[in-house]
Amino acid sequence: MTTLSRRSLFGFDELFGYSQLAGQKAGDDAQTILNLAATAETLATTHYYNVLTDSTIELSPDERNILKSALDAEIQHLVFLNANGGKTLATQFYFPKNIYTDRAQFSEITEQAEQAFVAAYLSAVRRITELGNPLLAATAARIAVVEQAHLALIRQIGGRTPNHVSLGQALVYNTSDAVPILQPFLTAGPDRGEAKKFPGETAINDVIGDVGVARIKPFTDKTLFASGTQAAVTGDCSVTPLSGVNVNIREDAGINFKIISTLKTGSALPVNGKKTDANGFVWYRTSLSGFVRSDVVKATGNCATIPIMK
Amino acid sequence: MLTDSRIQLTPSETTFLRGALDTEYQHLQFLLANGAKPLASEFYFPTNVYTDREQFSTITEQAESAFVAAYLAAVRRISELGNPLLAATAAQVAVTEQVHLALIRQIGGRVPNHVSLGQALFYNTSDAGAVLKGFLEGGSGFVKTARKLPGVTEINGVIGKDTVTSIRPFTDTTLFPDQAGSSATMAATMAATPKK
Repeated sequence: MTTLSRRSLFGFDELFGYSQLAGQKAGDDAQTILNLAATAETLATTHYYNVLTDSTIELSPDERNILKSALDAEIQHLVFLNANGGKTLATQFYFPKNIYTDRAQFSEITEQAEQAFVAAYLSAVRRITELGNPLLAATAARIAVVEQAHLALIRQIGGRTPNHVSLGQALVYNTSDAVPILQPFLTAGPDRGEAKKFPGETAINDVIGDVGVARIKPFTDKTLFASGTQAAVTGDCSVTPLSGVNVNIREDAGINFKIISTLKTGSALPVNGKKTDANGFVWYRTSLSGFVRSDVVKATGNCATIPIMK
Repeated sequence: MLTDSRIQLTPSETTFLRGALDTEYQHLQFLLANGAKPLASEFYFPTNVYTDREQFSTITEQAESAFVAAYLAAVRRISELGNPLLAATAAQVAVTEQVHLALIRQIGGRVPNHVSLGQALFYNTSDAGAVLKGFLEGGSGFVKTARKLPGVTEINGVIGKDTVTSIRPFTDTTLFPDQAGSSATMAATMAATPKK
């Protein structure tokens, strides 16, 4: 198991060229966090790409879909980080031998890496709060939750119980404290395979195909809560009033049910189900647990696959 | 679900749900220790949620989506209030709720990891109230009899050996003892430490 030794920090520091070394009381600056996160996401995308394209591990179709979705999530994190000034500081990585031939090895090593990613993002929440940026702190938390889901599913691939902890593990106080966990992936050695290069977005998207995850807006996107307190979610099915009038949200699918809220003009709500009323009208169930009739809203996103309710 | 359901669960699904129960109960204990007061101790659940696998998966996903979003909104707001350790602790809770959400989707036969980020459905935690309303008040589509929060003995009896590892929150001062020196950190820690 990887230990949190700092002995190897110096080589990594020289390579990465950042100034806030782990353990310094001052804590990481935002640029350091962004750079390290971008590097971790580059590592993650390279890793998931390779297990999907250059592995002899026999993966079930469900497992391949999980890994393709994980790859898609990681590349989207990387794109977000780069768009916000993050700089990937390494583009090739050394993975342990057998990681792409031995299921147990793949699962265990990937769990360790995902554990480091979760911990790094959790410490980023702490530090970014300290730096006074609530929206970026919450965005870091939103990445962390996705990484923890990867961790759980990777454990499952290895035959271990996926949900094994009461909280996300706080292994590090600052994001840069996670550097020793990542450093072995940057260093050639007798227990390591040949360097694997970051494949690039186009190659990654070719592997993901049509399996990918829904594109979700980060807290830092100013349009997310622009029209009130409800989120406009991209990718997933969402509804918005059709024609300049507010739409009633009812407690069940039918105009005789009580109005519990209103979907205001210009705002959007995610949809998580649909059902047909006695008169043949289709109603969408919104994230507020109420229903809106489909002929008075515009539905966008992946609405064809939402569950049909009884 | 683990004691009064007709849905046939596989052994691994049962283990996951027991672990989820243990996790949620530990969250509750943490919140109570930090001064939280639940506003209800009995709840109404949608019809067929314990008899129909798809219904169970769909409804539970909606609830877990709300929980994740509520904790993410808490991260934002607590961060705004200037409490770094409590903000990070809220994030520690959120990540486990997202795992539940993923595994509940899997029980329903859907791809478990389906989003690029945890979904930000709310700007403030209190905005989640509308989602929870049916569970608190019942009504159309919900059963007429409320279910009470079981006691600790009953919960632990159901969890049995399928416990999860108890992880210390960021607010625990012993977690990073070398780092508790700054005034901001100390203030945050004191504010979030259980009162004895």
